[in-house]
Amino acid sequence: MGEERMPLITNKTNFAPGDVPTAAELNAPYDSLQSVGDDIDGTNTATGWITWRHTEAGLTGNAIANRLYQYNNDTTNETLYNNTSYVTISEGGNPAQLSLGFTSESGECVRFHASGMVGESTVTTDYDYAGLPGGNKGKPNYYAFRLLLNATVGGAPTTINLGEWGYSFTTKKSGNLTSITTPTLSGRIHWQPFAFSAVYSPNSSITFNSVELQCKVYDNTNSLSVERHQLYAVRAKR
Amino acid sequence: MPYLKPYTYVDGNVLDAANQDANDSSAKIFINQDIVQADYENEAFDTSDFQRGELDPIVGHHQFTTGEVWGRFNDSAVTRDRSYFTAHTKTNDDAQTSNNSKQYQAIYEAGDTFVLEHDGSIFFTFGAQFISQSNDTNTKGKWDSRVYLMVATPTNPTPTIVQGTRCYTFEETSAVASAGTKDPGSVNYIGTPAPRDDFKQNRRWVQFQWMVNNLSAGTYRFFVAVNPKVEQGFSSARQFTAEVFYDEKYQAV
Repeated sequence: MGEERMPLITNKTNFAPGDVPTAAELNAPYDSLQSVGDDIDGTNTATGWITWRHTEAGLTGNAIANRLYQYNNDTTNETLYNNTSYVTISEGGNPAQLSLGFTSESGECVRFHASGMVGESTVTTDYDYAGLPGGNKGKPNYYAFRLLLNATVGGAPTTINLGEWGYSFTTKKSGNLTSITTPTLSGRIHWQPFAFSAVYSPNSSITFNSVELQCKVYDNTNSLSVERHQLYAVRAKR
Repeated sequence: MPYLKPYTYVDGNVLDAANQDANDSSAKIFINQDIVQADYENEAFDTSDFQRGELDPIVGHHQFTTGEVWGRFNDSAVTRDRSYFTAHTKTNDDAQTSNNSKQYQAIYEAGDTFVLEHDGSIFFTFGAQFISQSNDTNTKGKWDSRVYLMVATPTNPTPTIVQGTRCYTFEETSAVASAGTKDPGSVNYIGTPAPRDDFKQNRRWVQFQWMVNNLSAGTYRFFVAVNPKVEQGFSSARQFTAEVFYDEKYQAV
């Protein structure tokens, strides 16, 4: 025997030959079915009955299981960035941003993916030769991306850093410092693709407003070239 | 919506067959095929109610309840076959490095056939190390072999590129000759042009994440391919996964 089901029809008379049914007896099975209302639950259904056909979006587009958000920019134009604080990548007036606009449940899991192509960046320095030992001598070689979530938490707008991912302009490393005093530039790395992912699960219900793909450089004499880029979010509703 | 009884019985009335049939029929329709989301109690189901996914261990495909995942999962313990590519299949030396000569060669284990049962989207994640050797007979330069996700279908069997997935792998060369259309980077001492780096520009980790949107139900062949401009190149470490989302455009039947 399987799991006991909550009956949808609770009152049903087993008539015998010659019985004259009353209206109450006849109404009973239909009334009990009507009284179920919206209370059908897991005890009425067989294990494993839900398939993807039951969880995807219907005509309303209101998916039960997954919800996709995406920004694809397959441009071949290169846009230069020499900002030392994060700014949102924008090509042709199109910011790399996804409007999310949903309020999550507590513990809901949302994942984010981004990728793109770095073009021919303008690099003038990849090492701080004049800097103090132990300082930030290697950092001019860095550029970085960030995924920034704009959310409303407890009624107040806020930003949440979903992660930062750093890359190098050149092949500079300690082994190819030909001199610690003579400025040299190591091999540039052009046309380098980037890709990264993040998962965010809030402890309480928050409103996901938007997410942005951002970038910055460490040294503003270097300019990062960003070509095509993509940004995705997948909401996995519980 | 909840079941509504169409006819209420009354004591002493002669039962009309049509009324009896209406009650039975409406109950039958509701129970058999008309229960909808609004009829269920909120948060009544958990994952144990879901149909289990199905794994095909031969090809590494897994069909989840909420979607499907195809492809070869990344495992650093697994040795991949080297997937070689060459421009020697092109008709002559000039064609080998011409931007107009396109012969896309598929990369092993970086493609699959997808059968979408309904309209949907596919999310691809690809990463691979590409290494290109120098050309021997043609002019050495910064030739860029371009890597794309490509797609072919039974009704359109000629593969077409997915433009947004374009990546590059470059010829290994110590020559200064300017040849390709993309500059892979170089070793230039400040103020003093110097030979291009011999080995660093020809080793590229190529990666992309890309969503192919609004696919109709049907069969698709997606694969990663390279249009080689070098006489010998290969890919070793690779990962390729594809995730199907039936969310978009799906209409219940």
